[in-house]
Amino acid sequence: MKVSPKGAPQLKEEVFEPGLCTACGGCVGYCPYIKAAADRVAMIYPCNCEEGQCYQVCPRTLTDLPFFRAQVFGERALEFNKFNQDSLEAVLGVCRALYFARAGAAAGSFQGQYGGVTTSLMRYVLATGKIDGALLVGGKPAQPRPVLATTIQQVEACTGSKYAAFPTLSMLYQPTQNLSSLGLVGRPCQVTALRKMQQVKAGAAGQVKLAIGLFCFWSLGPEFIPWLIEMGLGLIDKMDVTVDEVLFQKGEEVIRQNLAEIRSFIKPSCQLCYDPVAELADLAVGSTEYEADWNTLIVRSQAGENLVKEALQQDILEVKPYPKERLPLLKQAVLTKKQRVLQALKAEKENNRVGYLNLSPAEINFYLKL
Amino acid sequence: MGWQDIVREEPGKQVLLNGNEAMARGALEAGVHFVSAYPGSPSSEVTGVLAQVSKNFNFYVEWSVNEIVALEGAAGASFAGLRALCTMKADGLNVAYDFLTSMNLGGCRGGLVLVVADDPFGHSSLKEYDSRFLAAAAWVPVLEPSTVQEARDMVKWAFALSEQIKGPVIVRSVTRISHSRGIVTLKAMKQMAQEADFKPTQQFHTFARFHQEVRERLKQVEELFAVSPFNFSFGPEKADLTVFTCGTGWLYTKEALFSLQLEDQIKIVRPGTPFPLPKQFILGHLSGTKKVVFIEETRPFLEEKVLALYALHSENLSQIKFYGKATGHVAGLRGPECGEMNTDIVREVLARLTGRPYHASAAPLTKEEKKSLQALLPPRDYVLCPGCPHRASFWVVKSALALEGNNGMVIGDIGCYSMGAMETGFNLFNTLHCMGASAGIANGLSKLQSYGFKQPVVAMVGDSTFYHAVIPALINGRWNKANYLCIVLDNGVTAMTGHQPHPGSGKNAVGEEAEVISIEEVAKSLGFMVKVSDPFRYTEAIHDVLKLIRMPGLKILILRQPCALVANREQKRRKVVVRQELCRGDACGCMRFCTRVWGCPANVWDKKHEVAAIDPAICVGCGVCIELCPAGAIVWEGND
Repeated sequence: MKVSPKGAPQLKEEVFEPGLCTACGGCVGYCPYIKAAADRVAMIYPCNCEEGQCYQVCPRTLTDLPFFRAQVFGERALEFNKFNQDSLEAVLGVCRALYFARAGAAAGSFQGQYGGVTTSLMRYVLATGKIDGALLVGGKPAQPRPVLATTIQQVEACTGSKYAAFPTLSMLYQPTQNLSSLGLVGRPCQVTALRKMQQVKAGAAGQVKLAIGLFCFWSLGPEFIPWLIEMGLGLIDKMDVTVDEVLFQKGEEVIRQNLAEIRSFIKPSCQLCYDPVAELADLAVGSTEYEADWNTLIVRSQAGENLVKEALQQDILEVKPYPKERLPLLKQAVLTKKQRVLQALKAEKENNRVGYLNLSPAEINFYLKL
Repeated sequence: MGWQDIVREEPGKQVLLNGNEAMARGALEAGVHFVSAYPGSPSSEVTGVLAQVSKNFNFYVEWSVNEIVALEGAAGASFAGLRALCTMKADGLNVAYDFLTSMNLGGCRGGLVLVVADDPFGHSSLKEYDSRFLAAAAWVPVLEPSTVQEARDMVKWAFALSEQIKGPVIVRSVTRISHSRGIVTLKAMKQMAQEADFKPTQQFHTFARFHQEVRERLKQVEELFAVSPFNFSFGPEKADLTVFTCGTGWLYTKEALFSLQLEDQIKIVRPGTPFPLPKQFILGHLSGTKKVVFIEETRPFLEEKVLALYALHSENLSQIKFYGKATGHVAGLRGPECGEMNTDIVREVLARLTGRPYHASAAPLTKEEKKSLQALLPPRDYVLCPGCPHRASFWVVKSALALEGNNGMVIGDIGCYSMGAMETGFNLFNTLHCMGASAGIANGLSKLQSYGFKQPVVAMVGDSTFYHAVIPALINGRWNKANYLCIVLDNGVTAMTGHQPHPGSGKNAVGEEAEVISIEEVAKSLGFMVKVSDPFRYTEAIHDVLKLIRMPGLKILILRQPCALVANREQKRRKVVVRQELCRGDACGCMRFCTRVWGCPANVWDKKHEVAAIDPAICVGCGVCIELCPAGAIVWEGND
């Protein structure tokens, strides 16, 4: 793995100061100098460490993607690295299977986002003892809070997307952590950070056995929640984003806002995110933007595949083939994002700034030519 | 020693008192009726000890909310014919100055004495300066004692002088008088008539036309000073070299002459009444001398007055060469006119002028000498006490502003928490000036939005400072729609000056129960959004700071925890220990956060095991480091 022997001062200079912190929480809680309050992360005091774990685990510092693909997917990654222009994987990342999925009949009833895949799977792995704790974001959209769920009820209380970036990975440093295997539901940047944390054996990262990554084209910065409250939307139960609208749901009432209303809250770091579909996760889950009661599910790792198989057998999950006519749309959305980021990073390199991704020139050229 | 000695009824007995106690004794011997002050080093103990003994004598003592209120109260007593004493540090004279300059015009009746204690070098002050210049500008006579006994004598005489001239009198002390101990021969304590009497026909007004009367009054004072035993000389009657000195300079000069064996060659002239200058006394000693050296504390006050006098009378005097601070010849490490006087400075200038061999004890060291000496000394910086709630408050605000992320400014104020401008306070303060300045500056900064200043502003004030000088600034801020967060650090007492009670303490100067003037009630009554929070609950307090910063307008957050010294005295809290097996030592990414950055003296480093430890002798059990240790190695005893 390529790493930079850098520490907190460089993290501050390269990530915090340019506004590139994703609020993943990977650096929060290991030391007394980086703190989080709700969805904000900041370095509060210079620690003077020349080399720091904080720098190494950050998803916006040098990220050796090929290395992590190999770590998570083994031989599958080698195949992926061949960049077959026609393959779906070239754009979506390692992909053992791609489905429309939703909670199965045996999953019980709860109000998840779209098809409720994430909640039903997390409930299942907790109930069956595959994990004994899950790192989630709980609370309503305007009062998100990190939750280390150890009961099914706690998992259910965390259903629904929050859209505000929340540094849940900080919980992996909690010194009272007494759980042997953990699950994580996180944004793609958090999954990347988790993989980096696992590499340097940070906190309890090694105990995370299942990482479900959420599709994420952007998340919202710390000004979003104050705005929600100001707009009288502090008590909404659920939030959803469509192509051009934001839906705030409070009980039966749905308030619609133009998407442009919240665009200004998008975190700057999301503009440089190369990975909208959680390429290093075991499973990646998102909306279908097609059928409201279903999720898109990408099965990535062997562990993910095993779990999905079992869940299907147990009727925890229900899947159907990904509609062929939707595939180009999904591919194009992800590809456009990747190309935009590669262009931006290329421009930064030309300005003598270091892009965080370590990709081979072949890979970069491949995407830019697609 | 101490308050038992200052109330002793044994004329002729010699007791050991410090300068402040001696001045308190002087007030008792003068039969003082009314004492008021706002505490401030090095003046605090004068009123402090009088408060302790007031019940034995049945006179009135109060800690006032600030110096001008204190002086106004004392003036009220004086107008009613009573003897009143008002004490303050030099900075306090600024606060009281508007009233002093007004009242001096109209004059007073009962003896009204101000003890103003300067702090050369700023040992316990943010600034050093010479209050004699302010006294002179206000046309108020000044007495300047050189010894502890003289401090007593001068305070006592100042009451009589004040009554004779019908105006206030200032006794100027300095740290080395107020805080030095010396032998005082007790005199009888006077029993004054207790009847306060302010006749309806009496008037004390301030009008410009009285200016002339004050001038006449000063002339009268000068005549009295001309025959005052406080002005004397020492050594040969005629000498080519004469030292003019006052205040602490008298003993420094005597010591210097003794050690240089120059006592029979050099004359010392010691005016104890530097303003108005006893002109005939000074002229008498200028006559026949060739060289004059000035030794005085802080600025060249006496020097300038004498030089002006010499200029006016030069035709009758021989040519004299002057050596002093104004001329640059008398200078300590900080240069002339700055810093504190000491014997070495005097020795050095006198040796130079007389050619006596002399090696200063504070001669510059070689690099090697410095290094070897520094190795012997533990590094000592200013430090907040173990468990001080201010440390927790500073860390909360430091954290909150970093998390807020918009380069928030912190505007500091005066108290123990002025150390927020130092390493022990995480260098938090962007500005630090005088009592109450924080809220005023914050008002101004928060109105600069139209000029592009968008940073959040936090003013940090102490509880005593809140009552002293902050309330008008807050009212101004509310009136003018200021937009900042005012944090009141409420530790229940005026801690820095010695734990004097304040309006929120529930006690008055003499220890009686008193109405609590609640900070939050005051703030609420002015219409402010107020929140009370506990700085020891780090995460919650950060949340409160962030929440309030984001709210529009001027908000008030009270961070409340009793002063650690008081809390520790009243109730020993739980014991904190380090689970050393959990401390990652130097392998921790924290780089010894607890001992290096957090800096509580109770967090220590166990050199043998190379892990953190707690010094149980000084830990007060606040428990804040428990929450801050990233390894969870610091715990409550019993949780280990």
